[in-house]
Amino acid sequence: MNTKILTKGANVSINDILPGAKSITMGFSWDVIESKGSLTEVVASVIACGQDGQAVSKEHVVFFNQLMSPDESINMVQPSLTTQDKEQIEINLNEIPSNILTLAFILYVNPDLRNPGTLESMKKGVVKILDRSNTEVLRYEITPNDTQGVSAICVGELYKRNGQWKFRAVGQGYAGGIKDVSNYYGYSS
Amino acid sequence: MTEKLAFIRRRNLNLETQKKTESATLSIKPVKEKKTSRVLPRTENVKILTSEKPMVVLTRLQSGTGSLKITFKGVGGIADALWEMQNGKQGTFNAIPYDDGKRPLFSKINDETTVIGLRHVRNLRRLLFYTYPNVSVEIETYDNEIIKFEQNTRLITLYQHDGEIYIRHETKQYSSQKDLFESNGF
Repeated sequence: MNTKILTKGANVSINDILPGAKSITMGFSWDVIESKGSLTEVVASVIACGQDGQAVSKEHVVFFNQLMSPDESINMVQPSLTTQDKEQIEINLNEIPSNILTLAFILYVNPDLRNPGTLESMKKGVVKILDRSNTEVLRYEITPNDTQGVSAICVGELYKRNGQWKFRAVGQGYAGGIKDVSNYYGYSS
Repeated sequence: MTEKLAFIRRRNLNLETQKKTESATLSIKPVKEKKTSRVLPRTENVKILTSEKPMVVLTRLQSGTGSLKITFKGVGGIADALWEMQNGKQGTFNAIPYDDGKRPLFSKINDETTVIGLRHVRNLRRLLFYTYPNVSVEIETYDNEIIKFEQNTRLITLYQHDGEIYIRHETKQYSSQKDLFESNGF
């Protein structure tokens, strides 16, 4: 199967690339430029949003310290060793409650007070959709323009239109990092 | 079986630094995080820890985002600090600073301020800060919630359980460093 490559702003129906899929895996890979100081720590997360585009609740933010959504349709999983992914998130499409219409996938720099760095030090950032055998069927490659001067980026959105799940490559950066993201998606800790 | 799954889940959380030596290729679904039936004291309700209300629990977002800033104001500040990781490794503030991913678990950024990095919080079991008398202590989360402590605090403990950090205030005084270590299992 050929991997479909998305450009910023483009979208694709999940049914077109994975007909009849009940679940998909989102893979995230990146490199961080080594420096003499502390290494920039990049985190992958997903925010489940309702019709208003806002996070359903703070429990609907899934990342390494909150491993699944309350309905268990979204799970952080151990990346398959057959991939180069740093993080993987499994989405059970059929189990997503009807009030969740968008999943926003975010990469951000952990805002440690000690020189956290920015996403400019992240290279080869890629978000992928994998099938059940961990074969890559779609990818969006994050460009240096996407990460310039930002500490968080919405790399893509999975959204429901007319009963069909679609994926859009977004590439929207946030200079204020995860704080800006939480303000935008309307959740607090 | 539950313990094994819990171990697998904890292991999953340090993906950036772990050596990929396992040969398994199947994805492992994390076990369901426990939801407690009792109401835990949260930062929106508890702003100051006292003998009557000695504990507050940070949410998983607060416990796993950014860092915690702990400010010790007063003569001497911290007398000692002890840490223990989930793998049983232990150390003290000065002797063995834990380092993960080229970023120490905690470090002083000035005479009054210590920072705890939270990216690898799931690897942490507990942190204990023993202070000199009459030291004013504050802990600030990444979302600017500030937890204060009664002036008589002597031992501040942070326990990580299921991704949540439990912060406790204790007033017990220890006769010596040896007493502090032994009383707390170090």
